[in-house]
Amino acid sequence: MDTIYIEHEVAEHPRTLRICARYPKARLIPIARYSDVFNARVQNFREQKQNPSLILAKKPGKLIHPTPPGYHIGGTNNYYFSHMLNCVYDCRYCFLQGMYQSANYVVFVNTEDFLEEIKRTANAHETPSWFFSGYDCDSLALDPITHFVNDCLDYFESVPNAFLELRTKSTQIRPLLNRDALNNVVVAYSLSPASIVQEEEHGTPSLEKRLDALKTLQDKGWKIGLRFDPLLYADNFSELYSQFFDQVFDALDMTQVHSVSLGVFRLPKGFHKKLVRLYPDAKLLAAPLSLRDGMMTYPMDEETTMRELCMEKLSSVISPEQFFPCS
Amino acid sequence: MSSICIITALPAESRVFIDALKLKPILDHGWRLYGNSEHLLLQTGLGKLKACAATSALLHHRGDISAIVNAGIAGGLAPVGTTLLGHQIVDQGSGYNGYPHLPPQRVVQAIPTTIVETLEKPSSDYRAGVVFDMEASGIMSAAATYLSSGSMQFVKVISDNSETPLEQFKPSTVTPLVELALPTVLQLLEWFAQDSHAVQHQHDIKTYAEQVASCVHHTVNDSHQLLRLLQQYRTLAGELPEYSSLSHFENATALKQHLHRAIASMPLDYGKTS
Repeated sequence: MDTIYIEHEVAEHPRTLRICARYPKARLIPIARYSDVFNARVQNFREQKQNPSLILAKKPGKLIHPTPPGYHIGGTNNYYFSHMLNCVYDCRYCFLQGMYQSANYVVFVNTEDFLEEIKRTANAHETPSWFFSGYDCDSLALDPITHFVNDCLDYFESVPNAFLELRTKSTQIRPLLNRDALNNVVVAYSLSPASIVQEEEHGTPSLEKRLDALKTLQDKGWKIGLRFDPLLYADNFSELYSQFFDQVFDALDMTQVHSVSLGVFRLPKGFHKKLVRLYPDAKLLAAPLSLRDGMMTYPMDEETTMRELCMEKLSSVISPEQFFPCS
Repeated sequence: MSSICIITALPAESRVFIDALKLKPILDHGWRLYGNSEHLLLQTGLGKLKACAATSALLHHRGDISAIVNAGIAGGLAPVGTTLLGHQIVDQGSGYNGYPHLPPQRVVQAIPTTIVETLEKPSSDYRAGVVFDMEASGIMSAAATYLSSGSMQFVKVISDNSETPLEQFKPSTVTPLVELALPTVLQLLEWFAQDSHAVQHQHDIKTYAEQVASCVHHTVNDSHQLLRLLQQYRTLAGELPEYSSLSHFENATALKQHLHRAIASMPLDYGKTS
């Protein structure tokens, strides 16, 4: 990390000091509010992605938000939280590129405030509540820096009415392997065929490494989830995804997978427009896309074909109770 | 070919870069402009208004400029001759605030960074972490219309401080002081040049689209669609279509339909699954 911006308010926070100590050569730049840097105009996401800075801040205001409709894995009370903004990976389809001006990483160091709000929110419901991490970031990729997983799991261990999904593509699973599996935590991996990983998910662990991590977690007793989202169009979709699913099914005990979800590539129109401006040469954006309900996605007949093929493969190894389509 | 522009205020600051890069005067629009095949130097005159006006006019006129480096002297607490990179640009008068996205340290050899506060008049009110200049905020606010925060950098050399205050400042020291910033500015130019290839790539497609649109009447919307179709075509085909294959269409709609069909017929595969 070359440059670290630090909000005045958290300059002496123990997490700030620990993170800065990890990068003794970084430029340390004090700032008033993270939004001054992160939301500044005239930033170029693509350009910054080559050399992102780290911003350490305190997240003010509301920390837990209801998930969008359709974003759940069987629970009735569903929330997401973002202890980080942005991701170390550079997936060409990622909606964060359309949502944020900046490719810098923001780490909110006031972890305890998040956890207290999670507890309050869970206690406000009689039925279990689900909390999704990894909506605006990768849950594990920066964990060696943030130590968020350990802090978080210590807490969830004491709140059995709260369920946590850690969504990731990362193989940084040491903090999970160093402790007993928790019944109320699911580690969910986004998976794509190896050639899509190579061409569109820049900087991410290979499919093989992700499957190894999943297998290791499964063997250690952790609940695992599989997220086939987004499915990307290809002329060779059928062959590509059939072989991919076979590879996944060979690697894992599918009957023990907690949940599987699946969704095709889709982006809000405004995000898509920004993505085209940033990456006009992206292969996935050269596919036939059309506007449906405010989202740029594949034509309905194409989507149906893609979903049906995947469903056919999945239904041979999982039960309907394990499956949650993404809308 | 895209250009990278150095922006200075004073002739004594410009001289260092004109000599080092062998820049020649460009007589155009009454600017103090110098250049070679890759670089430009704009000498704005003293003060943020002149800096803002000249920067804005140049960037509006020269769409090929992909990055700027503002270089010059500044007052601050650091020893005279210290070179610093601006991490925040503040306009004292208006409160304008900007954050250039800093280059990697390997590019500029870990030189210290600072807040650059732009003043109307020189000041001796030196403060830790801040240097004073008279142009940076004008340049940044003008450039922000055309360039991203990573495509503008501000290199300042300390010319006066509490031990050598303004009253003792000698104009003859400007050139030798700015020479101290020359290595940093050259490193930034080289770094920007490496980054300008992607910009050039898109510039080529735009030029090509404009050529095609000049043969067949295109509305603004048609032109946007044509550009996008050409981008998709090149992504899938690896090259743009032959110009002659597009120049004979009677109208923009027929041309778009042709490109849509061509794109739809191209393979979009991922890897080999055998």
